[in-house]
Amino acid sequence: MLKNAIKLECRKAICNPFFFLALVIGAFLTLFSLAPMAESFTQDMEQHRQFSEEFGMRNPLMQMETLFNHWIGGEGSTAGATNYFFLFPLLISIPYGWSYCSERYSGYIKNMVIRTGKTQYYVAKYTALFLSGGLAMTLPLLFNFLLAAMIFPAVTPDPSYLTAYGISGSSFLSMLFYGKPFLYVVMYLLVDFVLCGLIACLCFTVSDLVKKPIAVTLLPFFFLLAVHYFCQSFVYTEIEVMYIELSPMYFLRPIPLVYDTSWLVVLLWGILLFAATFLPAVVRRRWYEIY
Amino acid sequence: MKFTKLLWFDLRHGLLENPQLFLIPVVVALTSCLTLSASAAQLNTAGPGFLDFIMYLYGGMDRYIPGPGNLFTFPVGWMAVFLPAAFMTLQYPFQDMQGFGQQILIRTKGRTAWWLSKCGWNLCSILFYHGLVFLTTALFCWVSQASFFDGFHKPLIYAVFQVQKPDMMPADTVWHGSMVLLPVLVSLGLSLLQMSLALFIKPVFSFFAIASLMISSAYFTSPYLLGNYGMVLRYHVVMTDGVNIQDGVILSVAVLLLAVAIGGVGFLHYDILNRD
Repeated sequence: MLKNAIKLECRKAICNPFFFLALVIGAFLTLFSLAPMAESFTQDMEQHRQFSEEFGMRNPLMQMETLFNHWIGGEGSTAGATNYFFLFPLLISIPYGWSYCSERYSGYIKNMVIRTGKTQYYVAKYTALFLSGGLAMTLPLLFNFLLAAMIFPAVTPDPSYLTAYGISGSSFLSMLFYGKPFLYVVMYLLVDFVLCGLIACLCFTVSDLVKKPIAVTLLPFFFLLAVHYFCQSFVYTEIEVMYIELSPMYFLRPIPLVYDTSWLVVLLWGILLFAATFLPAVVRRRWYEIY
Repeated sequence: MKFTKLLWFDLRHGLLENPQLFLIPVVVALTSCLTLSASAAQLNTAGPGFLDFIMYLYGGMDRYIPGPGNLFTFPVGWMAVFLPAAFMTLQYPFQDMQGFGQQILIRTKGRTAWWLSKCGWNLCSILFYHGLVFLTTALFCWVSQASFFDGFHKPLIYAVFQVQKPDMMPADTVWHGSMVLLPVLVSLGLSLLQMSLALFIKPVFSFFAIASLMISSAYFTSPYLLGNYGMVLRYHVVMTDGVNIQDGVILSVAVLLLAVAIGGVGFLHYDILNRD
Protein backbone atom coordinates (compact mmCIF):
# COMPACT_ATOMS: atom_id res chain seq x y z
CA MET A 1 0.00 0.00 0.00
CA LEU A 2 2.81 2.38 0.92
CA LYS A 3 4.68 1.48 -2.27
CA ASN A 4 1.60 2.22 -4.38
CA ALA A 5 1.00 5.50 -2.58
CA ILE A 6 4.61 6.56 -3.14
CA LYS A 7 4.41 5.58 -6.81
CA LEU A 8 1.22 7.56 -7.24
CA GLU A 9 2.54 10.67 -5.50
CA CYS A 10 5.87 10.54 -7.34
CA ARG A 11 4.07 10.21 -10.65
CA LYS A 12 1.93 13.22 -9.76
CA ALA A 13 5.04 15.18 -8.72
CA ILE A 14 7.25 14.33 -11.68
CA CYS A 15 4.72 14.05 -14.48
CA ASN A 16 3.15 17.43 -13.91
CA PRO A 17 3.52 20.55 -16.07
CA PHE A 18 5.01 22.62 -13.24
CA PHE A 19 7.89 20.18 -12.84
CA PHE A 20 8.70 20.36 -16.54
CA LEU A 21 8.35 24.13 -16.47
CA ALA A 22 10.74 24.38 -13.53
CA LEU A 23 13.24 22.19 -15.39
CA VAL A 24 12.91 24.23 -18.58
CA ILE A 25 13.33 27.54 -16.73
CA GLY A 26 16.30 26.15 -14.79
CA ALA A 27 17.95 24.80 -17.93
CA PHE A 28 17.30 28.10 -19.71
CA LEU A 29 18.95 30.04 -16.89
CA THR A 30 22.01 27.80 -17.02
CA LEU A 31 22.47 28.74 -20.68
CA PHE A 32 23.09 32.32 -19.53
CA SER A 33 26.11 30.97 -17.70
CA LEU A 34 27.32 28.72 -20.50
CA ALA A 35 27.30 31.32 -23.28
CA PRO A 36 29.49 33.98 -21.57
CA MET A 37 31.81 31.28 -20.25
CA ALA A 38 32.25 29.84 -23.76
CA GLU A 39 32.99 33.30 -25.12
CA SER A 40 35.50 34.08 -22.39
CA PHE A 41 37.12 30.65 -22.83
CA THR A 42 37.57 31.25 -26.56
CA GLN A 43 39.14 34.66 -25.93
CA ASP A 44 41.43 33.37 -23.18
CA MET A 45 42.57 30.39 -25.21
CA GLU A 46 43.34 32.71 -28.13
CA GLN A 47 45.50 34.84 -25.86
CA HIS A 48 47.25 31.76 -24.45
CA ARG A 49 47.85 30.48 -27.97
CA GLN A 50 49.37 33.81 -29.06
CA PHE A 51 51.67 33.68 -26.03
CA SER A 52 52.71 30.16 -26.96
CA GLU A 53 53.44 31.20 -30.54
CA GLU A 54 55.38 34.28 -29.46
CA PHE A 55 57.60 32.49 -26.96
CA GLY A 56 57.79 29.14 -28.75
CA MET A 57 56.64 27.20 -25.70
CA ARG A 58 53.31 25.95 -24.38
CA ASN A 59 51.68 28.54 -22.16
CA PRO A 60 51.39 26.93 -18.72
CA LEU A 61 48.39 29.16 -17.92
CA MET A 62 46.30 27.09 -20.34
CA GLN A 63 45.74 24.65 -17.47
CA MET A 64 43.62 27.29 -15.71
CA GLU A 65 40.90 26.90 -18.34
CA THR A 66 39.07 23.76 -17.34
CA LEU A 67 35.54 22.38 -17.31
CA PHE A 68 35.51 22.55 -13.52
CA ASN A 69 35.70 26.35 -13.32
CA HIS A 70 33.59 27.04 -16.37
CA TRP A 71 30.39 25.14 -15.62
CA ILE A 72 27.67 26.98 -13.71
CA GLY A 73 28.69 25.48 -10.37
CA GLY A 74 32.35 26.37 -10.81
CA GLU A 75 31.95 30.06 -11.57
CA GLY A 76 30.23 32.93 -9.79
CA SER A 77 30.50 35.81 -12.20
CA THR A 78 27.83 35.30 -14.86
CA ALA A 79 24.22 36.45 -14.86
CA GLY A 80 23.06 32.85 -15.35
CA ALA A 81 24.81 31.55 -12.24
CA THR A 82 23.62 34.57 -10.25
CA ASN A 83 20.01 34.11 -11.27
CA TYR A 84 19.99 30.32 -10.86
CA PHE A 85 21.51 30.22 -7.38
CA PHE A 86 19.32 33.09 -6.19
CA LEU A 87 16.05 31.73 -7.60
CA PHE A 88 16.58 28.00 -6.92
CA PRO A 89 14.31 28.00 -3.80
CA LEU A 90 11.45 29.01 -6.12
CA LEU A 91 12.41 26.43 -8.75
CA ILE A 92 12.38 23.60 -6.21
CA SER A 93 9.00 24.48 -4.67
CA ILE A 94 7.10 25.27 -7.86
CA PRO A 95 6.81 21.60 -9.05
CA TYR A 96 4.96 20.15 -6.05
CA GLY A 97 5.18 22.50 -3.05
CA TRP A 98 1.56 23.61 -3.47
CA SER A 99 0.12 20.08 -3.62
CA TYR A 100 -0.70 19.29 0.01
CA CYS A 101 -2.25 22.72 0.59
CA SER A 102 -4.29 22.42 -2.59
CA GLU A 103 -5.42 18.83 -1.86
CA ARG A 104 -6.52 19.73 1.64
CA TYR A 105 -8.54 22.65 0.30
CA SER A 106 -10.17 20.56 -2.44
CA GLY A 107 -10.94 17.60 -0.18
CA TYR A 108 -8.81 15.17 -2.20
CA ILE A 109 -6.89 14.32 0.96
CA LYS A 110 -9.97 12.68 2.49
CA ASN A 111 -10.29 10.32 -0.47
CA MET A 112 -6.63 9.38 -0.29
CA VAL A 113 -6.55 8.86 3.47
CA ILE A 114 -9.56 6.52 3.58
CA ARG A 115 -7.90 4.39 0.91
CA THR A 116 -4.28 4.41 2.00
CA GLY A 117 -4.23 5.51 5.62
CA LYS A 118 -2.78 8.70 7.02
CA THR A 119 0.81 7.63 7.57
CA GLN A 120 1.17 6.13 4.11
CA TYR A 121 -0.28 9.22 2.49
CA TYR A 122 1.96 11.61 4.40
CA VAL A 123 5.11 9.53 3.84
CA ALA A 124 4.29 9.27 0.12
CA LYS A 125 3.66 13.01 -0.11
CA TYR A 126 6.90 13.78 1.73
CA THR A 127 8.88 11.43 -0.52
CA ALA A 128 7.40 12.92 -3.69
CA LEU A 129 8.10 16.46 -2.53
CA PHE A 130 11.67 15.55 -1.59
CA LEU A 131 12.33 13.92 -4.94
CA SER A 132 10.74 16.68 -7.00
CA GLY A 133 12.66 19.40 -5.12
CA GLY A 134 15.97 17.57 -5.39
CA LEU A 135 15.53 16.81 -9.08
CA ALA A 136 14.37 20.34 -9.92
CA MET A 137 17.65 21.64 -8.47
CA THR A 138 20.12 19.10 -9.80
CA LEU A 139 18.84 18.23 -13.28
CA PRO A 140 19.48 21.73 -14.74
CA LEU A 141 22.93 21.73 -13.10
CA LEU A 142 23.66 18.34 -14.64
CA PHE A 143 22.38 19.60 -18.00
CA ASN A 144 24.76 22.55 -17.81
CA PHE A 145 27.67 20.33 -16.75
CA LEU A 146 27.14 17.93 -19.64
CA LEU A 147 26.83 20.79 -22.15
CA ALA A 148 29.94 22.44 -20.70
CA ALA A 149 31.80 19.12 -20.96
CA MET A 150 31.26 19.32 -24.73
CA ILE A 151 33.00 22.69 -24.89
CA PHE A 152 35.63 22.93 -22.14
CA PRO A 153 38.46 20.45 -21.54
CA ALA A 154 38.18 18.36 -18.39
CA VAL A 155 41.66 19.23 -17.16
CA THR A 156 42.26 18.21 -13.55
CA PRO A 157 42.65 21.46 -11.57
CA ASP A 158 46.18 22.28 -10.49
CA PRO A 159 46.52 23.75 -6.98
CA SER A 160 49.15 26.16 -8.35
CA TYR A 161 46.31 28.07 -10.01
CA LEU A 162 43.88 28.01 -7.11
CA THR A 163 43.02 31.69 -7.57
CA ALA A 164 41.59 30.79 -10.97
CA TYR A 165 39.27 28.18 -9.45
CA GLY A 166 38.23 29.97 -6.26
CA ILE A 167 38.63 26.75 -4.25
CA SER A 168 41.26 27.05 -1.52
CA GLY A 169 42.65 24.37 0.75
CA SER A 170 40.07 25.15 3.43
CA SER A 171 37.10 24.97 1.05
CA PHE A 172 34.51 22.25 1.39
CA LEU A 173 35.62 19.06 -0.44
CA SER A 174 38.71 20.85 -1.80
CA MET A 175 40.79 17.64 -1.70
CA LEU A 176 38.27 16.02 -4.03
CA PHE A 177 38.29 19.05 -6.30
CA TYR A 178 42.04 18.89 -6.87
CA GLY A 179 42.25 15.09 -6.81
CA LYS A 180 39.07 13.71 -8.32
CA PRO A 181 37.13 16.67 -9.75
CA PHE A 182 34.37 14.57 -11.32
CA LEU A 183 33.70 13.03 -7.92
CA TYR A 184 33.65 16.56 -6.48
CA VAL A 185 30.91 17.52 -8.91
CA VAL A 186 28.94 14.34 -8.15
CA MET A 187 29.26 14.87 -4.39
CA TYR A 188 28.12 18.48 -4.63
CA LEU A 189 25.18 17.53 -6.79
CA LEU A 190 24.28 14.93 -4.17
CA VAL A 191 24.51 17.52 -1.38
CA ASP A 192 22.35 19.90 -3.44
CA PHE A 193 19.85 17.11 -4.15
CA VAL A 194 19.43 16.17 -0.51
CA LEU A 195 19.33 19.67 0.95
CA CYS A 196 17.08 21.11 -1.77
CA GLY A 197 14.76 18.15 -1.39
CA LEU A 198 14.51 18.90 2.33
CA ILE A 199 14.03 22.62 1.68
CA ALA A 200 11.17 21.82 -0.70
CA CYS A 201 9.59 19.75 2.10
CA LEU A 202 9.29 22.96 4.13
CA CYS A 203 6.20 23.64 1.98
CA PHE A 204 4.60 20.52 3.41
CA THR A 205 5.39 21.55 6.97
CA VAL A 206 4.00 25.07 6.74
CA SER A 207 0.81 23.99 4.95
CA ASP A 208 -1.00 23.74 8.27
CA LEU A 209 -0.10 27.30 9.24
CA VAL A 210 -0.54 28.92 5.84
CA LYS A 211 -3.72 28.21 3.93
CA LYS A 212 -2.78 29.61 0.54
CA PRO A 213 -0.84 27.56 -2.03
CA ILE A 214 0.96 30.65 -3.40
CA ALA A 215 2.29 31.61 0.02
CA VAL A 216 3.27 28.01 0.77
CA THR A 217 5.23 27.82 -2.50
CA LEU A 218 7.13 31.05 -1.83
CA LEU A 219 7.89 30.45 1.83
CA PRO A 220 11.11 28.38 1.33
CA PHE A 221 12.51 31.23 -0.75
CA PHE A 222 11.74 33.81 1.95
CA PHE A 223 13.03 31.47 4.65
CA LEU A 224 16.42 31.16 2.92
CA LEU A 225 16.46 34.89 2.19
CA ALA A 226 15.76 35.59 5.87
CA VAL A 227 18.58 33.24 6.96
CA HIS A 228 20.94 34.96 4.55
CA TYR A 229 19.83 38.40 5.74
CA PHE A 230 20.30 37.37 9.36
CA CYS A 231 23.82 36.05 8.63
CA GLN A 232 24.81 39.23 6.75
CA SER A 233 23.42 41.53 9.44
CA PHE A 234 24.39 39.82 12.67
CA VAL A 235 26.96 37.10 12.02
CA TYR A 236 29.38 38.47 9.40
CA THR A 237 30.14 41.75 11.12
CA GLU A 238 33.94 41.96 10.88
CA ILE A 239 35.65 42.33 7.52
CA GLU A 240 38.96 40.78 8.62
CA VAL A 241 37.51 37.60 10.13
CA MET A 242 37.15 34.43 8.01
CA TYR A 243 33.76 33.12 9.03
CA ILE A 244 32.20 29.82 8.04
CA GLU A 245 29.44 30.09 5.44
CA LEU A 246 26.11 29.32 7.08
CA SER A 247 23.66 30.48 4.43
CA PRO A 248 22.39 27.75 2.06
CA MET A 249 21.96 30.39 -0.66
CA TYR A 250 25.75 30.56 -0.79
CA PHE A 251 27.06 27.20 0.37
CA LEU A 252 24.86 25.20 -2.00
CA ARG A 253 26.99 26.64 -4.79
CA PRO A 254 29.99 24.42 -5.57
CA ILE A 255 32.20 27.50 -5.51
CA PRO A 256 32.52 29.54 -2.29
CA LEU A 257 31.51 33.14 -2.90
CA VAL A 258 32.73 34.76 0.29
CA TYR A 259 33.42 32.22 3.04
CA ASP A 260 34.05 28.48 2.96
CA THR A 261 31.56 26.10 4.46
CA SER A 262 32.25 22.82 6.24
CA TRP A 263 30.87 19.30 6.61
CA LEU A 264 29.52 20.24 10.03
CA VAL A 265 27.40 23.07 8.63
CA VAL A 266 26.07 20.92 5.80
CA LEU A 267 25.26 18.02 8.14
CA LEU A 268 23.62 20.28 10.71
CA TRP A 269 21.46 21.89 8.06
CA GLY A 270 20.48 18.44 6.81
CA ILE A 271 19.56 17.23 10.29
CA LEU A 272 17.70 20.42 11.20
CA LEU A 273 15.74 20.47 7.96
CA PHE A 274 14.85 16.80 8.30
CA ALA A 275 13.73 17.32 11.89
CA ALA A 276 11.77 20.44 10.96
CA THR A 277 10.05 18.79 8.01
CA PHE A 278 9.62 15.05 8.65
CA LEU A 279 8.59 15.20 12.29
CA PRO A 280 5.80 17.78 12.01
CA ALA A 281 4.74 16.73 8.53
CA VAL A 282 4.55 13.00 9.00
CA VAL A 283 4.85 11.98 12.61
CA ARG A 284 2.79 14.64 14.32
CA ARG A 285 0.18 14.81 11.58
CA ARG A 286 -0.89 11.23 12.23
CA TRP A 287 -2.95 12.58 15.12
CA TYR A 288 -4.44 15.50 13.20
CA GLU A 289 -8.12 15.58 12.39
CA ILE A 290 -8.41 16.09 8.64
CA TYR A 291 -12.18 16.44 8.58
CA MET B 1 -18.88 56.12 -6.71
CA LYS B 2 -18.64 52.40 -7.59
CA PHE B 3 -14.87 52.63 -7.79
CA THR B 4 -14.66 54.43 -4.45
CA LYS B 5 -16.77 51.80 -2.69
CA LEU B 6 -14.74 48.99 -4.24
CA LEU B 7 -11.48 50.68 -3.26
CA TRP B 8 -12.67 51.19 0.30
CA PHE B 9 -13.66 47.51 0.48
CA ASP B 10 -10.28 46.41 -0.90
CA LEU B 11 -8.35 48.65 1.48
CA ARG B 12 -10.28 47.27 4.46
CA HIS B 13 -10.00 43.62 3.47
CA GLY B 14 -6.74 43.61 1.54
CA LEU B 15 -4.66 45.63 3.96
CA LEU B 16 -6.15 44.21 7.14
CA GLU B 17 -6.38 40.57 6.04
CA ASN B 18 -2.81 39.73 7.06
CA PRO B 19 -1.68 42.59 9.29
CA GLN B 20 1.23 40.49 10.60
CA LEU B 21 2.92 40.84 7.20
CA PHE B 22 3.43 44.52 7.95
CA LEU B 23 5.86 43.52 10.66
CA ILE B 24 8.34 42.66 7.89
CA PRO B 25 9.18 46.28 6.88
CA VAL B 26 9.45 47.19 10.56
CA VAL B 27 11.88 44.34 11.26
CA VAL B 28 13.92 44.99 8.12
CA ALA B 29 14.16 48.74 8.84
CA LEU B 30 15.06 48.15 12.48
CA THR B 31 17.71 45.55 11.60
CA SER B 32 19.28 47.87 9.02
CA CYS B 33 19.33 50.79 11.46
CA LEU B 34 21.00 48.66 14.13
CA THR B 35 23.54 47.30 11.64
CA LEU B 36 24.42 50.75 10.32
CA SER B 37 24.73 52.18 13.83
CA ALA B 38 27.09 49.35 14.78
CA SER B 39 29.16 49.87 11.61
CA ALA B 40 29.36 53.62 12.23
CA ALA B 41 30.54 53.00 15.80
CA GLN B 42 33.23 50.61 14.54
CA LEU B 43 34.37 52.97 11.79
CA ASN B 44 34.32 55.94 14.15
CA THR B 45 32.86 58.25 11.50
CA ALA B 46 30.35 61.06 11.74
CA GLY B 47 26.66 60.17 11.46
CA PRO B 48 24.52 58.31 10.80
CA GLY B 49 21.51 60.55 10.31
CA PHE B 50 18.02 59.80 9.03
CA LEU B 51 19.05 60.04 5.37
CA ASP B 52 22.03 57.73 5.97
CA PHE B 53 19.71 55.07 7.40
CA ILE B 54 17.39 55.42 4.41
CA MET B 55 20.37 55.30 2.05
CA TYR B 56 21.55 52.09 3.75
CA LEU B 57 18.13 50.51 3.20
CA TYR B 58 17.69 51.60 -0.41
CA GLY B 59 21.34 51.95 -1.49
CA GLY B 60 21.64 48.56 -3.15
CA MET B 61 25.19 47.93 -4.26
CA ASP B 62 28.05 49.38 -6.24
CA ARG B 63 28.34 48.64 -9.95
CA TYR B 64 29.43 45.04 -10.58
CA ILE B 65 32.19 44.40 -13.10
CA PRO B 66 32.59 40.68 -13.91
CA GLY B 67 36.14 39.47 -13.91
CA PRO B 68 38.52 36.79 -12.65
CA GLY B 69 38.34 36.58 -8.88
CA ASN B 70 35.44 39.04 -8.70
CA LEU B 71 32.41 36.93 -7.79
CA PHE B 72 28.94 38.46 -7.62
CA THR B 73 27.30 38.71 -4.19
CA PHE B 74 23.77 40.03 -4.25
CA PRO B 75 22.64 42.93 -2.00
CA VAL B 76 20.51 41.00 0.47
CA GLY B 77 19.48 44.06 2.52
CA TRP B 78 18.10 45.77 -0.57
CA MET B 79 16.34 42.58 -1.67
CA ALA B 80 14.83 42.26 1.82
CA VAL B 81 13.15 45.65 1.31
CA PHE B 82 11.70 45.08 -2.18
CA LEU B 83 10.81 41.40 -2.40
CA PRO B 84 8.50 41.17 0.64
CA ALA B 85 6.58 44.14 -0.79
CA ALA B 86 6.13 42.21 -4.03
CA PHE B 87 5.00 39.13 -2.07
CA MET B 88 2.45 41.07 -0.03
CA THR B 89 0.62 42.34 -3.10
CA LEU B 90 0.71 39.01 -4.93
CA GLN B 91 -2.21 37.04 -3.59
CA TYR B 92 -5.13 39.26 -2.75
CA PRO B 93 -6.44 40.15 -6.26
CA PHE B 94 -6.54 36.51 -7.41
CA GLN B 95 -7.77 35.08 -4.16
CA ASP B 96 -10.51 37.70 -4.12
CA MET B 97 -11.40 36.78 -7.69
CA GLN B 98 -12.13 33.21 -6.68
CA GLY B 99 -14.01 33.84 -3.49
CA PHE B 100 -16.20 36.67 -2.39
CA GLY B 101 -14.85 38.88 -5.15
CA GLN B 102 -16.81 36.95 -7.77
CA GLN B 103 -20.01 38.11 -6.10
CA ILE B 104 -18.76 41.69 -6.09
CA LEU B 105 -17.72 41.46 -9.73
CA ILE B 106 -21.19 40.32 -10.77
CA ARG B 107 -22.87 43.09 -8.79
CA THR B 108 -20.62 45.91 -10.02
CA LYS B 109 -21.43 44.87 -13.63
CA GLY B 110 -18.12 46.25 -14.80
CA ARG B 111 -14.66 44.83 -14.73
CA THR B 112 -12.83 48.12 -15.17
CA ALA B 113 -13.87 49.51 -11.79
CA TRP B 114 -12.86 46.22 -10.16
CA TRP B 115 -9.45 46.30 -11.81
CA LEU B 116 -8.87 49.96 -11.01
CA SER B 117 -9.79 49.39 -7.38
CA LYS B 118 -7.26 46.55 -7.23
CA CYS B 119 -4.63 48.88 -8.71
CA GLY B 120 -5.55 51.48 -6.10
CA TRP B 121 -5.30 48.90 -3.35
CA ASN B 122 -1.92 47.80 -4.70
CA LEU B 123 -0.56 51.36 -4.75
CA CYS B 124 -1.85 52.05 -1.23
CA SER B 125 -0.32 48.82 0.10
CA ILE B 126 3.11 49.63 -1.33
CA LEU B 127 2.95 53.21 -0.06
CA PHE B 128 1.92 51.92 3.36
CA TYR B 129 4.76 49.37 3.31
CA HIS B 130 7.43 51.93 2.48
CA GLY B 131 5.77 54.41 4.82
CA LEU B 132 6.34 51.90 7.61
CA VAL B 133 10.01 51.64 6.60
CA PHE B 134 10.42 55.40 6.77
CA LEU B 135 8.44 55.66 10.00
CA THR B 136 10.45 52.93 11.73
CA THR B 137 13.66 54.61 10.65
CA ALA B 138 12.41 57.98 11.90
CA LEU B 139 11.44 56.46 15.25
CA PHE B 140 14.85 54.82 15.54
CA CYS B 141 16.53 58.17 14.84
CA TRP B 142 14.36 59.84 17.48
CA VAL B 143 15.11 57.15 20.08
CA SER B 144 18.85 57.05 19.29
CA GLN B 145 18.98 60.86 19.06
CA ALA B 146 20.39 60.72 15.54
CA SER B 147 20.06 63.82 13.43
CA PHE B 148 17.19 64.30 10.98
CA PHE B 149 18.55 67.31 9.13
CA ASP B 150 22.26 66.67 8.72
CA GLY B 151 21.98 65.25 5.22
CA PHE B 152 24.14 62.38 3.97
CA HIS B 153 27.47 61.48 5.53
CA LYS B 154 29.36 60.39 2.43
CA PRO B 155 32.45 58.83 4.12
CA LEU B 156 30.16 56.55 6.14
CA ILE B 157 28.12 55.60 3.07
CA TYR B 158 31.25 54.82 1.05
CA ALA B 159 32.69 52.76 3.90
CA VAL B 160 29.62 50.60 4.62
CA PHE B 161 28.96 49.92 0.93
CA GLN B 162 32.70 49.29 0.30
CA VAL B 163 32.58 51.30 -2.90
CA GLN B 164 35.45 51.93 -5.27
CA LYS B 165 36.27 55.62 -4.83
CA PRO B 166 37.16 56.24 -8.50
CA ASP B 167 33.61 55.08 -9.36
CA MET B 168 32.04 57.79 -7.23
CA MET B 169 31.21 61.35 -8.21
CA PRO B 170 33.35 64.14 -6.68
CA ALA B 171 32.75 64.85 -3.01
CA ASP B 172 31.21 68.27 -3.74
CA THR B 173 28.34 66.76 -5.81
CA VAL B 174 25.10 67.52 -4.05
CA TRP B 175 22.84 64.61 -3.03
CA HIS B 176 19.27 65.80 -2.62
CA GLY B 177 17.27 64.09 0.10
CA SER B 178 14.31 63.68 -2.26
CA MET B 179 16.25 61.17 -4.38
CA VAL B 180 15.46 58.47 -1.79
CA LEU B 181 11.82 58.65 -2.87
CA LEU B 182 12.54 57.21 -6.34
CA PRO B 183 12.92 53.62 -4.99
CA VAL B 184 9.36 53.89 -3.65
CA LEU B 185 8.13 54.87 -7.13
CA VAL B 186 10.10 51.96 -8.60
CA SER B 187 8.46 49.61 -6.10
CA LEU B 188 5.02 50.91 -7.14
CA GLY B 189 5.82 50.23 -10.80
CA LEU B 190 7.17 46.74 -10.08
CA SER B 191 4.20 45.80 -7.95
CA LEU B 192 1.67 46.82 -10.61
CA LEU B 193 3.75 45.11 -13.28
CA GLN B 194 3.66 41.93 -11.18
CA MET B 195 -0.10 42.16 -10.72
CA SER B 196 -0.66 42.63 -14.47
CA LEU B 197 1.72 39.79 -15.35
CA ALA B 198 -0.16 37.49 -13.00
CA LEU B 199 -3.20 37.81 -15.26
CA PHE B 200 -1.30 36.10 -18.05
CA ILE B 201 0.95 33.71 -16.13
CA LYS B 202 0.42 32.23 -12.68
CA PRO B 203 1.10 34.57 -9.72
CA VAL B 204 4.08 32.43 -8.63
CA PHE B 205 5.69 32.88 -12.04
CA SER B 206 5.01 36.61 -12.04
CA PHE B 207 6.82 36.83 -8.69
CA PHE B 208 9.59 34.73 -10.21
CA ALA B 209 9.85 37.21 -13.09
CA ILE B 210 10.02 40.21 -10.72
CA ALA B 211 12.65 38.50 -8.53
CA SER B 212 14.66 37.68 -11.65
CA LEU B 213 14.36 41.31 -12.78
CA MET B 214 15.63 42.51 -9.39
CA ILE B 215 18.63 40.20 -9.30
CA SER B 216 19.45 41.00 -12.93
CA SER B 217 19.22 44.72 -12.12
CA ALA B 218 21.70 44.20 -9.30
CA TYR B 219 24.00 42.37 -11.72
CA PHE B 220 23.76 44.72 -14.72
CA THR B 221 24.04 48.50 -14.27
CA SER B 222 21.67 49.35 -17.07
CA PRO B 223 19.15 52.18 -17.53
CA TYR B 224 16.78 49.65 -19.14
CA LEU B 225 16.45 47.48 -16.04
CA LEU B 226 13.96 49.13 -13.69
CA GLY B 227 15.56 47.74 -10.54
CA ASN B 228 18.61 49.97 -11.06
CA TYR B 229 16.50 53.02 -10.24
CA GLY B 230 15.66 51.35 -6.92
CA MET B 231 19.35 51.50 -5.92
CA VAL B 232 20.25 54.98 -4.72
CA LEU B 233 23.94 54.11 -4.92
CA ARG B 234 23.69 53.83 -8.71
CA TYR B 235 22.23 57.26 -9.37
CA HIS B 236 24.20 59.59 -11.62
CA VAL B 237 24.73 62.08 -8.75
CA VAL B 238 26.31 59.35 -6.62
CA MET B 239 28.22 57.18 -9.08
CA THR B 240 29.98 58.08 -12.34
CA ASP B 241 28.05 56.75 -15.35
CA GLY B 242 25.17 56.02 -13.03
CA VAL B 243 21.50 55.90 -14.00
CA ASN B 244 19.70 59.19 -14.45
CA ILE B 245 17.10 60.01 -11.79
CA GLN B 246 14.77 61.78 -14.23
CA ASP B 247 14.87 58.76 -16.55
CA GLY B 248 14.02 56.62 -13.54
CA VAL B 249 10.95 58.69 -12.74
CA ILE B 250 9.77 58.56 -16.35
CA LEU B 251 10.40 54.81 -16.69
CA SER B 252 8.69 53.99 -13.38
CA VAL B 253 5.62 56.05 -14.22
CA ALA B 254 5.53 54.56 -17.73
CA VAL B 255 5.73 51.00 -16.36
CA LEU B 256 3.05 51.81 -13.81
CA LEU B 257 0.64 53.25 -16.38
CA LEU B 258 1.34 50.52 -18.94
CA ALA B 259 0.77 47.83 -16.33
CA VAL B 260 -2.58 49.37 -15.38
CA ALA B 261 -3.59 49.71 -19.04
CA ILE B 262 -2.44 46.27 -20.22
CA GLY B 263 -3.76 44.62 -17.10
CA GLY B 264 -7.09 46.36 -17.59
CA VAL B 265 -7.37 45.13 -21.16
CA GLY B 266 -6.23 41.64 -20.11
CA PHE B 267 -8.77 41.51 -17.29
CA LEU B 268 -11.62 42.38 -19.65
CA HIS B 269 -10.99 39.02 -21.37
CA TYR B 270 -9.96 37.09 -18.24
CA ASP B 271 -11.98 33.96 -17.53
CA ILE B 272 -12.51 34.00 -13.78
CA LEU B 273 -14.69 30.92 -13.63
CA ASN B 274 -12.22 28.31 -14.93
CA ARG B 275 -9.29 29.23 -12.70
CA ASP B 276 -8.25 27.14 -9.71
